[in-house]
Order: sequence, then structure tokens, then C-alpha cells
Amino acid sequence: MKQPARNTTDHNLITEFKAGSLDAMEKIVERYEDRIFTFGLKMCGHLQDAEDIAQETFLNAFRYLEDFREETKLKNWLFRIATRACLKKRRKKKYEPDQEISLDSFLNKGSSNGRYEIPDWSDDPSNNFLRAEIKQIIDSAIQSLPPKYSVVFNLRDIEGFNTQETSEILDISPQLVKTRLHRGRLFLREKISAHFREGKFQ
Amino acid sequence: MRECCKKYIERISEYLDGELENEICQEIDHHLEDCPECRECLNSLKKTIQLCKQSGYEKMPSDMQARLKSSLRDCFGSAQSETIGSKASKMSLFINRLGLDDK
Repeated sequence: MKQPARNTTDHNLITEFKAGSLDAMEKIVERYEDRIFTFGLKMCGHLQDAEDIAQETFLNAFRYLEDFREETKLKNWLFRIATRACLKKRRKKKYEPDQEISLDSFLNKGSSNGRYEIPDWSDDPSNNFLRAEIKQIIDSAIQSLPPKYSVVFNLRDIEGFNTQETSEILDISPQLVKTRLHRGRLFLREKISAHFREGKFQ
Repeated sequence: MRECCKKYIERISEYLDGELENEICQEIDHHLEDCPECRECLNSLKKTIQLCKQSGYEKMPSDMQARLKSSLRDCFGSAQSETIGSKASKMSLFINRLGLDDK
């Protein structure tokens, strides 16, 4: 079922911004800056990149907010802008050929018995060091995903957009979202478990 | 990996996300009961997703928040102050005409 496009708080803030309120603009920023920043950081891997992406996203959003008709949610629209900024940045930074992840590379490895040792996330606050190390492994695994898989994984599994929303943000079919998400997840499982298997972690 | 396993593993993400029709879902349920390898695949994938989700959100550093707000104010504040400025000058003209100005 399609979710209603409008969020009342966003709608009121947009109306106030259109009437000239800079406070409303800042409230919109406060509502979404951490999410856009996280997305930029997970996609591109550097603080400076994440800052550039947040700046570009909000500048463009407010520049064109006058024309925003609220047929889609503000959050989805912001991520649409942020996605383009991230992909542009990754293209600019390094030459990344449009790499395909093949499903066969994961399925033809013989028996998987005991192969995938994935640790549990520790909720024990005394284990901050362990958590920081696991987080670093995860973040670097996510960043090593080719961009078209990374963007789907971040939108679906980190940001929590559903398949339909992700397909609208990226202008690709829902089936392609599913395929890329599945391959991205399998890739991450390989990367993360390899760290633990090869004792890179400790 | 056996051919029948491959068929199910290809759809295991959709299975985890609850995006499959009942019929194929039940087929996978039955297969998982008998296949430890596919069970391991499912569990390790589930753990991977959980782990990534828990790695979670970052808070934007406060100096970045300040720079972001400042550049947005620079960009959009000028349009706003132009409006306020032109209103203010019209108002002072009106006051002058009425002879209410102190000078």
C-alpha cells in the first residue's frame, strides 16, 4: 500500500519557508541533517565529502523548494538530491568502472559450513573499543561496494526506505532494487566474514 | 552448492524482507528445515544486515552544523532581507510623508 506522501510537520515548515521564514528553513535542516550526513559518510567515506554532500543537498533543496509540490515526502525528495550528489562525488573522486557483482561468485564456493562467522553487535557499553572496531570494518565494507549497489543498500537497509520508495528515488525498477540489494548484502557478508576468518579483527 | 539451493538462495533477501508470495515462502520454509547449508546462509545474511543496521547513525559534528546553517543563511537570508529592506524603506517614506519623522 502506498504511504501518504505528506508529513504534517514538514508540510507546515515548508509553508513557513515559502512565506519567508528562515527559522523554518533551519528546523527542516535540523530534522534531516544527521541522516543526510550519515548517508554521505557511508557512501563516500570521508567527513569532508559528507559535509559537501549535506551542503549541496540542502542548498539545492531550498533553491527548488518553491516548486516542490509535496507529491512525495520531503525526506524522499532530500535523499533523491543527496543520492545524485553522492554518485557525482564518487565518480569525480576515483575512476570506478560500472562493476557488476555476480551472484555465481557467491553460490559456487562449495560447502559454506562454518564459513560465515559474523559477530554479534555488542550492546555492552564497556565494549566500546570492540564496537568501534566492528563499526570500522562494517563501514569500510559498505564503502567498498560498487556505487550502484552501495546506494541501494544504504537506502534500503540503513535508511529504511522500502523497495518502492527506493526505486522512485533512484528511477530504477523495483526488481532491480531487489537484485542489487541481494547482491550487495551477499558481498557485505563475504567482506565482513573474511575479516573475522582471517583474523584481521582483534 | 546444489542447484535447488541456488534457486532458493537467489530469493533469500526477498524472503527475509517479507516480499515473497505465500506459496514460495512456504517452499523455502520447507527447504530450510532440511538444508543446514541454506539455514546457515540465511542466518549469516540476517546477522550481516543486523550488524550493518546497528552500525547506525552518525551525528553531524557541531562545527559542520554551524557552517551548513551559515551558508544557507548567506544564500537565502539575502532574499529575505531584501524584502524586509524594501518594506522598511517604503515604511520610512510613508512616515516622512506624514511628517511623523523626528527630524
